Order: sequence, then C-alpha cells, then structure tokens
Amino acid sequence: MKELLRSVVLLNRRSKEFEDAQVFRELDQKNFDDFEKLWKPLLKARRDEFDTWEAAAEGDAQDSHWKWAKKAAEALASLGRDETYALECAGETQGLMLVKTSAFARLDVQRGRDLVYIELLATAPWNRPRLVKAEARYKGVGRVLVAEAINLSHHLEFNGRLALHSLPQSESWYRDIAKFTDLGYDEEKEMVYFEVTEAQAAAFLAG
Amino acid sequence: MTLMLSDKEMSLLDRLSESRGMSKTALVRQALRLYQSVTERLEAGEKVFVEKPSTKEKTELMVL
Amino acid sequence: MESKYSNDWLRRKIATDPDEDPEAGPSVLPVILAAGRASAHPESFAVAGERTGVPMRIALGVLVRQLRSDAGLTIAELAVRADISEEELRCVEHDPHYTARARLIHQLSAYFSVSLTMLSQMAGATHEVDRVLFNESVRFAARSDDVSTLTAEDRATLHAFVALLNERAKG
Repeated sequence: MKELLRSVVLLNRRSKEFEDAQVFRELDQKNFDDFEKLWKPLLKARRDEFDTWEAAAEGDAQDSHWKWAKKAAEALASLGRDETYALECAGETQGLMLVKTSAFARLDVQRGRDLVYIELLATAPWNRPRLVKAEARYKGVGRVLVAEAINLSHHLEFNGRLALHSLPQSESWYRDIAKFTDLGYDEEKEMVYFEVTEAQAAAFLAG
Repeated sequence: MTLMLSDKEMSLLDRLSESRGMSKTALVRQALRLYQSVTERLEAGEKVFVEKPSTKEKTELMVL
Repeated sequence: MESKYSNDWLRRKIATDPDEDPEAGPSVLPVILAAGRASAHPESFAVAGERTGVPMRIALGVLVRQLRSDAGLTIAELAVRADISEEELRCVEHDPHYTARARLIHQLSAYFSVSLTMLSQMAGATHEVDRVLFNESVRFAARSDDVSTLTAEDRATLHAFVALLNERAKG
C-alpha cells in the first residue's frame, strides 16, 4: 500500500519560495500515469537520454544500461514493492527512487556490511536545468531522496550506510557536495560506484 | 511468534548481530529479506552463484 | 519511520546546492519505456524479462511434449503433421534458452488448438507477460513429470491447463 512517509520541502526555482512536498513509500497508478504522460513526452522531446538509449537499443544488445533499465522497470512494474519511493509536489510526481535492501559494502572499512543500495534515483525532466534550462521548476529532489535513503538505512539498523552508481553528470555532486567515497569506475555497470560510510552519512545530514 | 532456537543457534545469532552491528530482530528481518530475494530468483528459474574474484571460479550456491 | 533530517536542514542545504540535482542508476527514459505499458495493467501484467523468460519456456516445453504425447506422436511424426522442423521442435521441448520462431508457435497453436497469444507469451515473444499465465505455467510445469507416457491424472492436468490458456486468451 502506498504510504505517506513525511512532508518535506522543495525549492520552487521561479518563485524562489519553498513549497510543501510529500515523500511516499510504494508507487501507485497515479505515479505511473505521471511517468507515462508527463515525464516521458518531455524526455523524448528533449532527446537527451533518448539518443543514448536508441543507439544502445539498436546496437549492442549487451548494453549494461539497457539491461539494467529493463530490470529496474520490472521492479517498478511489480506494484506493492516497498523499495520504491515517490516524491510529489503540486500534485505531480517530482522524483522517483528504487532501492535494494539486500546489498553489501565493498569499501574496505565496511566490507560485507549490509547497506541500502540506491538502484535508481530520478528527478522529473522539468526539474532539470540541463534539459529545460531556465524553465526548471523544483530544486532539491535529489537531496531529499538521498536523505530518505539514509533514513531507511538507519531504520534497518545499517546506520546510514548507502551505495549507488552515478551517471557522469552527478558524479561531482556525490564526490564534492555529499563527500561520499568514490570507488571508481565499475566495468560491469559502466558507471562510477559510490559508497557511504556511517560517518559520511552522519556528516551529510549534519550542518 | 516465539523462535525456538537451540543454544548453538542463539550463539550464532548473537555473534552475527554483534559483527554486523544490528539488533537480533533487525538481523533476522534482514535474513528474511535475503531468503526472499534468493527464493524469488530460484523460482524464476535463475541460479545463484558465488564467485572467487581472483580465479573467476563459480560455485552454485543452492539448488531448488 | 523516524526522520534523521529536518525541513530546516533541507531549506539551508537546497539553497546552497549546485543548480543540477543528482541522480543515480541508469537513465530513467529506458526504464519508463520498459515499464510503461505494463503499468497500464498493474494487476495482470509484468514486463517480460529474465525472470519470466526461462520458467515460461520450461512450461512451454513441457506443454508441447505432453500435447504430443497425448496425441500419441513422435517428434518426427508431429514435425511432419504440423509442418515444422524436427530440430526446432526438439529445441522448444528441451531448451529453455531457445527462442522459438513465430511460425513454429503459429503451427503448434493451430495444430493443437491452443491460444496463439498465450503460446507466444510462453515462448517469450512478447513485451508483456500475463501474471496469471505466468503463475499457472510455473505450477503446471512443476506438477508434470518428465515421462513419455501420460497417466489419466497427467491428461486431466494437461487439458485443464489448455482450457485455462484458451479461456484466459478471451478475457
């Protein structure tokens, strides 16, 4: 069952005011409708990732991103999974997150320890300056969802430990802003792998 | 539900929860999640392997 | 669930964060494209993928073997009567990693009067997989022994499964 976790805030870039937003655990039909009717047309129209996907789909069937996307889609399509999160504001889905709770750390200092793995974290295309330039609407979706993943990690008694793979354009955020550990390029996923220690999770939420 | 665990099993539970830094309840919950995840894969016809990175040697973990 | 962060913290941090929000995992458009159609029928469909492919094909193999056995035919005989290749038929019956070609599925569907849509889904030829079909197929395959002759019970199970397939195809 879709469950309201808490009320948060997002910055409306145009009005420069903070607005109330809601974090939900589990998705429902409304979220899927938003992805289909609101996110998809804009993503396709701006042809940002679309070109990459199309090239990948037409070319090498072994493309790790395409296979990964299909797996994430399967996880998403299985409604009732409590490892999915939606962030809503102004009645629309602003962000999406999919996590795995059976995952283990690679970083030496916490090798083998349980952590929350962020499988997918996406913000609505209209929130991305890179895609829509000056028309970008809300800021903060990424920060809210990463913080929520840390919440989950604590709830499961993993003390805030996290891991994720980052697209190139987000690497500097995780490395320089969040100060998570960059474990380097992962050949299998073709992305940079980051891990978060207990101390790093605490530092992220402090200040 | 009361878990009827032997002394040996309780001792294992203690050790694991200590080394993983979780309460026994949290650990048992995680164990359930792991078991569920493996079960889903096996039921879907997939296999679960353990790999030795140095030699790339694979051993099948469980067979349904 | 308790929160380790406050909205004050969010306000302070979001204000000073760089312009572009971070994301993680694969690009979201392929995910939406793959999940899109399935989400229109959340109760009944799952996106066909690695988790559904092999078990469905195993069930398809069992189904074809049993239908053939029920009709008292060898692989060679069925191949001739249904006008299909022996080799392909063997692959369908025994190799869950084999992708049956459309024509073969079509011929088998016509010969045994089993729903083409259902057989196509079992063969892994579709983007979506009916959840009920998936569960019933797995159950059917698990119940069936790999013997060449069918008992009366096996026959009953087989016919019930075929009836279910054809019924499901209508709905």
